[in-house]
Amino acid sequence: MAGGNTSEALKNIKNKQRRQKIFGEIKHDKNKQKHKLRAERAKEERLNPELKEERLANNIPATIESKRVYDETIAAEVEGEDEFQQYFSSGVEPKLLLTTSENAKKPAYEFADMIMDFLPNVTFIKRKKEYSMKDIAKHAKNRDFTDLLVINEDKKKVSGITFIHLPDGPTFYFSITSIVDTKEIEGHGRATDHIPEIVLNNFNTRMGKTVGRMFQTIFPHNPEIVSRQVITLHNQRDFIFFRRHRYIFRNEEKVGLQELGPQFTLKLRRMQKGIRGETVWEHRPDMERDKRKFYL
Amino acid sequence: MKFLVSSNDTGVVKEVIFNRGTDTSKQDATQPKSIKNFCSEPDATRKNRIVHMLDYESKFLVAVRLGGEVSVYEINDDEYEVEDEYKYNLLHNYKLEGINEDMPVSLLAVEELEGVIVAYQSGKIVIISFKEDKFDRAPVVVQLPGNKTISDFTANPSEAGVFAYGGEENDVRVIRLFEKDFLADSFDSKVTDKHFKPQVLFTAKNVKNDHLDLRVPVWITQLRFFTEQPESGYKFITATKYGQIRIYDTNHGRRPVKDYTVCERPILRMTFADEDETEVIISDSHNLIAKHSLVKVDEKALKTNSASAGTIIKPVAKLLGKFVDQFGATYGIRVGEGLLVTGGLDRYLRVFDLDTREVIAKAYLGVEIADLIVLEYEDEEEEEEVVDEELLKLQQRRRRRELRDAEEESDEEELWNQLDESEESKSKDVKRKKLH
Repeated sequence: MAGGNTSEALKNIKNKQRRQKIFGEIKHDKNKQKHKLRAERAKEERLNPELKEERLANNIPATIESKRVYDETIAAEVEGEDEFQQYFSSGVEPKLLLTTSENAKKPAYEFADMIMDFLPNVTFIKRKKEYSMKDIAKHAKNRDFTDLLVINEDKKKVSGITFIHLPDGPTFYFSITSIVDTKEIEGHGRATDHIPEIVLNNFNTRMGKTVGRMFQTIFPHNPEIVSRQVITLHNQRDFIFFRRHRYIFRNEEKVGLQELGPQFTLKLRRMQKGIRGETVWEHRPDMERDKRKFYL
Repeated sequence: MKFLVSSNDTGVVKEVIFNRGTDTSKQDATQPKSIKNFCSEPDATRKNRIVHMLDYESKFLVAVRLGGEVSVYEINDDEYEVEDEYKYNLLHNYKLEGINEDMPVSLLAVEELEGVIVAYQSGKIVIISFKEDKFDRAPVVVQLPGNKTISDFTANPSEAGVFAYGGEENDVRVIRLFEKDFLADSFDSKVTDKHFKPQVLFTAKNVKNDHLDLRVPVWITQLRFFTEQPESGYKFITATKYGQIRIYDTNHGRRPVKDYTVCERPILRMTFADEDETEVIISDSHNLIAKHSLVKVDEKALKTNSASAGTIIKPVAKLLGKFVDQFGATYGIRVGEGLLVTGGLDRYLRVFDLDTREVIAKAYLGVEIADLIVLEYEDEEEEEEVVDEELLKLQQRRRRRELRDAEEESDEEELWNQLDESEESKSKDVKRKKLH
């Protein structure tokens, strides 16, 4: 092997600076060669596109997704009804109540403001210490709210959000990371007040389907297509990415996208029956030991 | 193994048949033999889902549905093959008045009444008699004394007519519902709630205040009588919403004899793990299923630090092991023949070995499980495969014999060939033989 020889040769050079210089040169050469090969291959393939197809067909990279552990719940048919049935069958319009954890600081309110931009029919109330989440849920239920959202803030950082579907649950708790405000996104557009369309990606397992249905119930049934706004909840490796875009069909093939923001990432930590009742599923650190097992 | 599982999502009962070693989460493992829906009458949905089920003398399947319905289905004999259409026929559907949203908390078979008792959260119990397998008697509704909500209602197995119940801020009460000599014969259509006058035999007293002199809240979730009862008085065990298990002996005062805190979350289900009743299995609202000894005690298992009282060390019933595989809370727990069968919110039916705590079989059912019944613990014999194996052996033997014969024949042929090279006609004959 050439590598063995070079390392042997390098070892014999006692001067560190010279050694480093020569090592750098060898590396540079190798890199150059690689690029040359690539350029040649690209040229060949430009003339003969079949070669590229063949190469791509033969070199499918192994990813964590492609090596996913078999999950019987993906193929299994969904049976019966769940707590969200009312939304789908009788066309109830969502009505959301948004609040924060106790003693919330500025970031929690800022985040509330951020998500109120796209949540339809939402009311924000300032959290009062004397009411527990169960109390608030009870009051909200009596006032025909369909969902209660509680932003969790810890040490001046938004750390999570609880979704409680009313009247009978279930309750979801997600951790939130990577919040990016609209202003920080380059070339962002300005969103309008129209009801957006919603895209749910990769909610495949039985658990994932439930989570997907929950997100569905937050938005009204009839998106206003005029606005060409779409909210995407993309699940990949159990992380749920929230993005908002405006699209335009430029011609039959090309679609233009403009990001509207905000961006954030959710991760399901817990699902409970009813209003914070019995656990259905809870994330445990040891679930991440097997990198190829996904739950959503 | 054969199970009946009630489904929260659809309100029906699933009949599940599988053998040991079944695991639906592995593609190459054994898959369940059959999973079929039954008992969809009357109009089973999520709203009238089955909360409790009972195998009544292997004759009827009694199912308590939400919304004040009790359905009775037929359990067929295993000896005859029955087509699916005729399995688990609805025999009768009781519609109980004045129950509506009341949550059923327990379902008991009562031999003396030749029927069942259904207890509801509000403290109402409904007595239904199936005497002579007839369903025309009107259910009798009795209000339990106390006028508080209850979370469990259980019968004393060694004394007829004695029951116990408890619930939220409603400490255990032992009552006599009917006299020992009450016979089912007298249970006719004229029997009303006046014939059942619950008489309180024992009321438990809350445990002493804690080290901060605060009252310990009461919320009984599960109650079981021991089969071996003292000569006078009663002995039973309770589980609470606050993770305690307590043993009461009415001969030793009104407070529990033993009080152990075994977990931090509400205990949902508790059942004895062995026939001697020295071990219990509990499941909590999270994902715990644990086996605790009632005999062995860990003296220093629970430590609490208190600024005023110093470190408080309390004994705990020894933890004999946890059953780990499930993600969510477990509602259906059955113990038998050294096995533990569980089912809960994670939509799996699992069979554990009680001693090794290993998963022997598990199957994804696609529906949340509220309760389950085990009809058979034995694996179904795989007759077909046995026959196949014998056939295979026979075939192999035959093939071997044929091969041997062919070899011998070919040897002979060679010999003949050498001998009769000149005689062409014969060699032709042999060739034909060879072709065969």
